[in-house]
Amino acid sequence: MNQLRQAHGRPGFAPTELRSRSLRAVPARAQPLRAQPLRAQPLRAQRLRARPLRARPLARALARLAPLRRCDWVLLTAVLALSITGVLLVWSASRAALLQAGANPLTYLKKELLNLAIGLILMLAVSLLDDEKLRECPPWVYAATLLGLIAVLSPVGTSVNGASAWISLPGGFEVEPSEYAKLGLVLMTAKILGDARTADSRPPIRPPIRTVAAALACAAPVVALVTAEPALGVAVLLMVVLVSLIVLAGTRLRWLAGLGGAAAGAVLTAWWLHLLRPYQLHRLTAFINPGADSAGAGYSAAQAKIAIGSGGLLGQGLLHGQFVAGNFVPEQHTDFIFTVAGEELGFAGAVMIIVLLGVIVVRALLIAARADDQFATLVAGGIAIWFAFQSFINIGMTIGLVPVTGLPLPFVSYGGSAMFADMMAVGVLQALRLAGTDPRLALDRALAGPR
Amino acid sequence: MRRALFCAVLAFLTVELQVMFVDGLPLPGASVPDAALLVVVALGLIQGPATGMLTGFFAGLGLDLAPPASHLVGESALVFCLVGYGCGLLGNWLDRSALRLLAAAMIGAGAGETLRAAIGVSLGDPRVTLPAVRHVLPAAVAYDVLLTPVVLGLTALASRRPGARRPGAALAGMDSGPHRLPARPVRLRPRALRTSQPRAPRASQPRAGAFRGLARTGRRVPRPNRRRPAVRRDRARTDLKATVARPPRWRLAGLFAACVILPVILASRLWYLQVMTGSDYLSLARNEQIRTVVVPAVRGQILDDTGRALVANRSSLAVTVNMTELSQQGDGGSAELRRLAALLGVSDRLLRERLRLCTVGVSQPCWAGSPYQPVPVSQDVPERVGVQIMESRRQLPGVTVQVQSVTSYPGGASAAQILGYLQPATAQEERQRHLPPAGPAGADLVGQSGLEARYDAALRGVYGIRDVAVNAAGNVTGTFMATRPVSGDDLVTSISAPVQADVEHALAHAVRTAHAEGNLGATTGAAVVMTTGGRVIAMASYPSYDPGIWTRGISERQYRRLFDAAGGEPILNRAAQGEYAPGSTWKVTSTAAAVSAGYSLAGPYNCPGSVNIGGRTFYNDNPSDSGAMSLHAALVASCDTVFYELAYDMWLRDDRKANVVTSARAPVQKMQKMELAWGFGKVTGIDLPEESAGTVPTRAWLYRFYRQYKKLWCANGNQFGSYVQRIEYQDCRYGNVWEPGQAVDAAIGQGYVTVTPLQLARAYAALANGGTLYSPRIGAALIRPDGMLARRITPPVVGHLPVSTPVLAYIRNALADAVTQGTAAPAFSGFPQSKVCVAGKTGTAQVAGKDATSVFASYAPCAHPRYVVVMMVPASGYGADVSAPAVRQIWDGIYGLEGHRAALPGGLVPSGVPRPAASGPAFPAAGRTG
Repeated sequence: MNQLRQAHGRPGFAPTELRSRSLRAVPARAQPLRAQPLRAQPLRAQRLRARPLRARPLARALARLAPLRRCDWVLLTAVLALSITGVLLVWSASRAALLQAGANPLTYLKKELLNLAIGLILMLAVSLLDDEKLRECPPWVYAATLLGLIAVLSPVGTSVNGASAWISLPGGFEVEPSEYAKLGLVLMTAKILGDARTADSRPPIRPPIRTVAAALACAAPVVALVTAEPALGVAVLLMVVLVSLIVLAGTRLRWLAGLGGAAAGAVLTAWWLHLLRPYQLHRLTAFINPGADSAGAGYSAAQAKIAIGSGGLLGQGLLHGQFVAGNFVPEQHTDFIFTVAGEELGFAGAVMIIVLLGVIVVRALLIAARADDQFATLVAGGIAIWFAFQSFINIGMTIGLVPVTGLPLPFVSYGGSAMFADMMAVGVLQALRLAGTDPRLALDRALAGPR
Repeated sequence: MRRALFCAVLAFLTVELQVMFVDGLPLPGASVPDAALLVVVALGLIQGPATGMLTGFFAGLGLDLAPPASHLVGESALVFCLVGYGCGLLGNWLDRSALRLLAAAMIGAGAGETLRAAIGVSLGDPRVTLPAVRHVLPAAVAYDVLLTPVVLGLTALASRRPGARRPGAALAGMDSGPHRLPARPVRLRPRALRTSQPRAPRASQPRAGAFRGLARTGRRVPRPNRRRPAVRRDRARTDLKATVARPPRWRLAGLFAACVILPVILASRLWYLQVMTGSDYLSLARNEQIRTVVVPAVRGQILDDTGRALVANRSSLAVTVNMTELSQQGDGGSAELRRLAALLGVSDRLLRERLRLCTVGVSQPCWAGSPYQPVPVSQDVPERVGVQIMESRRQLPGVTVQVQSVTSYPGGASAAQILGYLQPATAQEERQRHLPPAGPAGADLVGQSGLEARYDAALRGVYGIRDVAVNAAGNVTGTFMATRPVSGDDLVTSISAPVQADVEHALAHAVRTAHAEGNLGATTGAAVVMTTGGRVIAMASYPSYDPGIWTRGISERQYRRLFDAAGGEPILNRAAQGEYAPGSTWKVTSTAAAVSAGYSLAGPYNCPGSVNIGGRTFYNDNPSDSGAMSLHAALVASCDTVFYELAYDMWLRDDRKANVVTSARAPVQKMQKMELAWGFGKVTGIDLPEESAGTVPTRAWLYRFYRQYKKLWCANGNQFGSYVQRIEYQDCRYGNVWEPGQAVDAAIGQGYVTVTPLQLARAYAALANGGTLYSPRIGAALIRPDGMLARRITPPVVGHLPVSTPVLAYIRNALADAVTQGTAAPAFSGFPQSKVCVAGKTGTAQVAGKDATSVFASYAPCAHPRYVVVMMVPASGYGADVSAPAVRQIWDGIYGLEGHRAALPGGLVPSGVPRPAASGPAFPAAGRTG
């Protein structure tokens, strides 16, 4: 693709030999159609020339083909709605505890608003990346993530709740590299699995095994470092995303079966060799038998269920949740933020949050489905899986469907790094969408065919 | 959209069919075929995974929501969705021969039923248990398999409508374009026909395209060239290419499926948690976050007749420190304690001492309670300081300012035994008095004796309840519900504080003087002042104690001293509980008994120095013969021998046979009948919880007494032993015989006769008021906190003396003379009888082995008696020597005679009920009456 774009550089021009090459795969029945786009290009160019938009910035910004019109407004609206809900819920969740401690009850609200603002700027910046940069960045993102994860384990990292997942920066800022690792892994895996296509002259349907192996090899250090933090939930999420991307890339079923077997073996080995930390095992057993330990690991789960259950159909009203005010659910502004929604907004509000998350995931999947090349499909699909899995696990753990793990609810939970990573992922989705609908690239796509 | 509509309509029809017809079929095996499942299976097989999944979802949702359903919403939707999708995949994979389709449908149906059972079990559906599944599942599968051909055929027919496009393709995004795949009819046709058409490679089979449409809902894409069909055609071409060059798209489609299923699972679980069982969780949440706090009511005060507080309860601010919270401070709370000490104006060290726990080797001050309970470090804090502390709560975590009810006794030691005391309730008392379970801050103090116990229910008021919200750390964050406590009523008594003080002083003085004069047994005593109408004005018992020790926290030593018999047992109210021989004061009843038995008042009766009755010699106090006299003179001079002979004569004339061997049903002799009628031998019914009955020795009483002590007497008695042993020997043999000697002793208030000072006082009140016997009352009225009268308390009349008015007047006349010229004359010499005429009778009761009990019973004024004053000091000597002078002091105090200040101005008690002020001295009632 890059070669292609460099070759002509200006839309509307397609060298004959490229055209003929790209048509080789087309069935004979479809051939007559080919002439039409060639005719169409100059027409559009004329129209663009006829309306000198450069002189009118507002009109240009709102023009049909402008990025502002082509970006995914549904996705953006859902993200904004969810984030604002999240800010309100964080306010409600942190207010009572801050008051009790004699601090300003608006502290977390302000911080989260700042996070949201920075996140939106990041999203905007990322969404304005052009296609080329997007395809070139994964190795750099990956390397940065890896560095961050290594730094966490070094003395630079700080430990909270038994997991050293943060890097303290001067000025009271803290970075949680494992959040960015999700984005880094998606981009890098997509790059490896997607680029395999361009190497061959006739793209194969399925990625070769050594590509899959390369993807696994790239992911291995990230997963290992996250596990070492230890952040079991993030590690599981990364593995799920990785495996999903490998499946999505079209890997042969027999390779998948082999991979599955290997994974099962690894899990069993981990079990036998007691590689899991006691508290992690405890969480899992507490999930299987919640009544056994309602004061310890099962406490959070039990309290979360009570909080959500007490919300009823319409909830107690925002900022009116008594259970929230009593701080009965630990970590209710971060991992257990959904309990606040459950109690204060009730079934209606909780389902609204699920629907908004579903909308975001579906839009991501649509971007994946509409993308014409493997990289874009895999990036969008990977982000969709990331959001979907993380949301399901987070909500599931608050309502007793899955074990308690330390995964925040995307866009809703308090936390700067998570918010920034999520927003950057949305930015990537928007960039993919803009690239996919870029009129200047339409011909390229038409001629080059799928990648 | 059309596919979704199609699926929804089909699903609706299927569910209708299932719920309205199939479910009602009375088939054997407790099961019915699941037509909805079969339709989903058939559609999936014929139309592909998308249609199968959508139809499955809608049909399942329909079944979930249809009225009889009671399982988790989403359960069926999930199962059907999966089944439809699976069958779609299966159908794409199979080449479509009718037989294979049929087989696949049967397998799908069976798998669907099994999956549903499995999910039901795993989700904990109460109706789906493993035994039930084992019982029902085979039948269900069998019915489904039987019905499969029918449903499959019908579905196939419906899908092959002439002109119908394949719904799967219809929504595949290709329907609007000119270039779409030719609609593929459902192939329920012979394989031979189909083989003529070469099979396309599997990758190009529509299973690759089946979901592409969903992923590519063309209309929603903002197309750059909407008006240019060329581009769309171009895109269509890319689609075709995609079938060749793309990785299998169904994997992406699987993600879409997950996007539908996962939210449905979450939402159905939420529905279950929040809507179906939400109220359970709400009550769980309430249990966890609400603590019920009992707010004690301010206890009512006990006031004297003019509204002066005898027991004052006032609200004061107390500062408490929660040690658990204090220890959580970085420096262990030492900085905080310094701040608090500065605010309270006490030393830092004292605060620290009050907070330390009382353990071995730690002396007072220290905290004896639980370390988890807030420790009161300062009582009675000025309001200004309290506000300061509350304002700086952030600097003083764990420090609380509470309103406390503090009990004080402004009268000092006054009337300690009458008022009683408060102590924490025992568990049994909590049950009996319907108290809340022990709460903080003295909510559970109950009156344990005296008026506090007798009027406990009225004084205590009604406690309030506060439901407070607490957070996970247990800190109170707000109030849900509160009922205010209702303060207790104030009890106005007829006690006059100055009279009470006078009486206590006079009594103490009398006992101490007697003791100092050599009567070493004189350590106790009691006195009662009451109106002739039965209202108690003062009641004293010696020794007494300071009731404040109860509220200040009684020490072990103080407690032991209160109940120590050797120390005089100050806790006893001897006025009502002490039983003493009345001595000659008893002669008023003997006189009345003799008159009613027919003896004349005038006599004449001989008064020798001694008489011999039944082989025993009974002496008069005055050993010389005083000659013949009337009963008047006998009372004035207190001649015992006159009454000895009267008693003996009455004994002789009484039922002699009943005297020989007494029994429980023996008749009461005439003398004792009169004494019982004067209220002796039974409790007066005064409004105090503890009271003794005294003893009037009747034949029946003697019988019971003998039964009780016979063994002891027989064991100790010795015919030739000491005096006591000889008596016991006699008692062992003849103790149940009512002997003349016993009757003679009883006639002058000795022997077995005992009375309480209160009984004596009320008998003299009856004598003075013309014969009405009251049950005495200390309480006069209960007044509500708002000042309204709750209840007026009047002494009830419990009887009338069976003595005619002239006889009573005769006796009163004698008693008046007894003070001026009789036995009490020395004690009352110089008393201004012209101002206040006091009448009375001394009593000196011989008690075996001790000094005599000194008794003086009196009333005044002689003509229209208003008050009775009785004092009994055991083991102190003559009544005229010890009690009579003390009673004279009391009279002086009441009327303000002989240099005393009048305790009852004008000799009158307040006529109305005073209105107590909230604090401080109440203003007295307007008028005064007798």
